[in-house]
This record gives sequence, structure tokens and C-alpha cells, in this order.
Amino acid sequence: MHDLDPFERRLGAALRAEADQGLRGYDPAAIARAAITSRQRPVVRVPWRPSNPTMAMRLAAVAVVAALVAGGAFYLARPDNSTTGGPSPTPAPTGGTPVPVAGGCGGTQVFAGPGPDANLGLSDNPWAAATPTSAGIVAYFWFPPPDVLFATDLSGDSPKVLWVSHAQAGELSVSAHPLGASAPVVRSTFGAATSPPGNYPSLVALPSPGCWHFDLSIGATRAAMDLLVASARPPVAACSDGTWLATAISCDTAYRIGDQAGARVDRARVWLTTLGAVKESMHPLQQVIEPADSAVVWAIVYDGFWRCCANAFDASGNRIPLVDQASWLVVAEAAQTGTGFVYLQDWTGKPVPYLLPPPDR
Amino acid sequence: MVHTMAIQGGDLVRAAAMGDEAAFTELVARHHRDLLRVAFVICRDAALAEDAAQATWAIAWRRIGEVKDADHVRNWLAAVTANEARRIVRSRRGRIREISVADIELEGVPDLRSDPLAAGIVGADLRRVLAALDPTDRALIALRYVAELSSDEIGRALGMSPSGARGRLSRVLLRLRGDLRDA
Repeated sequence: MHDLDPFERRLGAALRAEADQGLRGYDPAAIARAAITSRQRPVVRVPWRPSNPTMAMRLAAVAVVAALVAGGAFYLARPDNSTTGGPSPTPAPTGGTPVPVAGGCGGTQVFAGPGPDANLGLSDNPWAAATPTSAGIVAYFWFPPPDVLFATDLSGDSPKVLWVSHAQAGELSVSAHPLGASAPVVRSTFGAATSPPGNYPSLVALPSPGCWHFDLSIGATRAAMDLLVASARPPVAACSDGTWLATAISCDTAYRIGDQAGARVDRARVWLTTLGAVKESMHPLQQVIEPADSAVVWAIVYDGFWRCCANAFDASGNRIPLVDQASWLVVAEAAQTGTGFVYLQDWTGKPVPYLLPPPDR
Repeated sequence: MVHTMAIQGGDLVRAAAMGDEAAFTELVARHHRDLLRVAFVICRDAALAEDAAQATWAIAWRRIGEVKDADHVRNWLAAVTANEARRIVRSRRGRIREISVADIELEGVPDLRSDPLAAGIVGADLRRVLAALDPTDRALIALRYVAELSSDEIGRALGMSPSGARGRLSRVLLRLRGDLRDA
């Protein structure tokens, strides 16, 4: 007990005594059996921790996380079964045969079908190995071929690439320039994900289409690959098509969050509400470390089409099969600093939460 | 399967995380009473408290492998229970029948004065004061004085900063000191 005064000690005893008088007996075996056999609906949750708590950065963080979510980077939320801190040896492909597809250029071939990391839940992702292959670096893409990469800028959407290193740990440095030209050069660095080890989620923002050469380095390891960058994606639907209530998030931002990884957004509706209100509406899984129920959140319901989620795992680590969704929900912390989160759930066939109460301010 | 007699809590947690149902059942036997107490303080209803504790074990079976400090699994379980109890109370808020203080008195109030450790706190006062608190305030009280978590642990459990948890707990305690006058 932590330095309690006499009143606090009496209070604790009174609380326990009152509870004991109001509670019935129980059978531990029956309770355990019920828990073991219980099942809940899967809800995908992706935690993130923005490094800068300003609203602008939080908007960006939401967009990035949504990109990861929409792109299928759910392995980030999956239980880590590894036992070591370093990259694992390159596993052999499992199930099926990779076939060459468009997306590469120069000296690089992009493949569809299970790659070296299929066992990480990446069997549906197009991939390409950097050269030399002894460097052990493989890129996995979230957009289908031929447009695995497309031109963009830092203010817009960027295609996701997951870099997996099998040979070297440390920060990944990427330097890209058009093949056969020395400029422009786009440089980025990416830290390794907490788990699994050797994974580097990234958003690749390249300004123009064409064949781009990528120089990759992790520690002393050097490798390269050439990838075709398609033209910029067409703009998303006009915001005037949406229905908008009073909220702190802009129409453009809401569309940008939802317009990822092949999702077609016809309409986005957004509510400023509380986490508690969302929980009551959607009955999600609960975990200990998360914002309080009073946390102010954006609840955004997207209507359109999204074939989700090739690499989604529920909270128990079970893979969620591909589902064609006509409506899906993203919940993101709106204003609190520190730990944030995203709920993502198939909202098809469910009523939109018109009646979610606004935050009590 | 592990033999659960006299086994350390941390070993039970690790065995349960590997799917050992006997070890999980032993964890239930060791901690369920405490979880019921935490949930009852928050829910103010025995049936809802049982629901919250049961939901906690369902979560624990799936996620117990994520417990960072297996030797202190009780604190983790209490935190999950507190959040489950708050969720249940909020989801049922609109459907719970309001009962006047007079009704509570007629239903019969435990006489806590028979418990020497609780001497001086009247059961009727305790029920009235707890019923008037916000569920989160009751969760603070339950985690601090029933589960005996530190302010830092309570803050993490309820999504508050450590200083925020300390400040709110202090305010609630001040209110309880005033309302729970010695008999």
C-alpha cells in the first residue's frame, strides 16, 4: 500500500467489505472456461505516437496512420512472436509462385505472389528485391501493379512502401533520383518499426513520373533498385458531395485520410465526439492503455468501395479475410497530446452515428 | 499443462499466455475476487460487476501475453476491469433505474461498522457518496483503495497523466473525507 493515512486505510476496508456483502459466490473454472470460449468481433486498432503535438502535425499523423491502415500495414498491430531484437534470416517463399508484373524498370523486376516474407502476412503484396540480393533488402508495395508507386508531393497522398531488411539493423536511408539523371534527388530516412524487427514502413513521395533509381543503405549495407513511378493520381471527389456537420477537421483532410490504397471515397461524414460514445456505438475491443473515454475524437464514416484488408489482423492476431466494404469507419484522436489511436471497422450495413453526442466542452 | 499449486504468479501468466488453461483457471481463482470488488465499486451493481469481471477474463485470455510485468498481473487485470466497468456503466446509463436515497435505505445497507478495519465509515453514507460520483472517479477510488495501485499506474490505466490522476484522486478523496463523517 502506498503511504495511506488512517482515513484512507479505513476507506479501503469499507469498500472491500461493502463489495463482499453485495457479491455472490463464483466458480473459477466456469469463469475461465467462458473466457476461453468467448469471441468478439474483430476490430483493427493501430496505435501511434505523434512526436509533435501540434494540430498540424496531428493532422499529418492521422493521414500517415490512415495510409498505413488503408494500405494494409496491419502487421504493425499484430502480436510480435519474435524472440530476438535483430532482423530474421531471409525465409523461403511459401505457397504459390511469384510472377513478374509491371512496376519495375532499369535493373529491377517487380513480382506478384508470395515473396520472401509471405509468412509476415505479405503474400498479397507486390514486391521487389534490391540488388545485390545478398544485401537482404526487399520492398513491399501497397498499391497494385502497374502503379505501385505514383508521383506526389509532401502535401498530398504518398504511396506506402514497406522495406524489410534481412541482414542489417539500423536506420534505413533512401536516396532516389531519376534513372540516368543526377537531379532531382529525394532523400529520406526511416527508423525500424518496433516490431517485427527489420521492418521499415515508409511513405515515398517522388515529384515526377518515370523510372527512378533508389540507393538504399542500412549501416554498412548498400543496395539499389529501380522502380517505375506513375503519374499523379487523380484528385478525389469534391468535398461538396459530402455531408458535413460542425467539426474541427476539414473536408479535404477527411478525404485525404480515406483516399488511400485503392479505396474509392464517394462520401465522407465526420463527427466530433468522444471515444466513449464511439465505444458504445461500435462495441470495440477494450485495452488498458488508450485515451480515456472522454477523449475527443473524430469519427469518420467513409462511403464508397474498399477491398480491405489484405494484411489485417484482429486483436487476437488472427488474419482478417479480404472483404469488399461499402462503408468503413476510422476513429482518430482529435486534440489530446501523447498517445493516439485509430479504430478501423467495416461499417457496411450499420447506421451512421448521427446521434453520437458532441464532446462536453 | 503446469501444476498450479504453489506456482508463482509470473509463471502462471507465462503458462497461460502459451495456452495453458489450467494456469489460466488458477489465475482466475487467485484474482477474481479482487476484480469483482473493483468492478462493484465502479458499477454499484453486483450483476454488472460480474459482467465486467467476466469481460476482463475474456480479454485476458487473448492478451495476457502482452503483460509486461507478469509478476504484477493483478494490477493489469484491475486496470482492465476498471475500464470494462466504466464502459458497462456508461452503456447502461440510460437504462438504469434511478433509486432514491430513501429506497436505498429501505433495501438494507451493510453495516460496515462491524468490520473493525472500516470503523467509523457508515455503509449508507458510503453508498450514497459513491453513487453520486462519476464512474471515472469511482474507478480512481477502486484502483487506489481496493486494488492498491499507485497514482502512476492508475494514470496509465485510465488514460491520464500521473499528475492528472493524482490531482483528480486528491479532489475525490477530499470530497469523501467531508462526506464520510465518522459515525
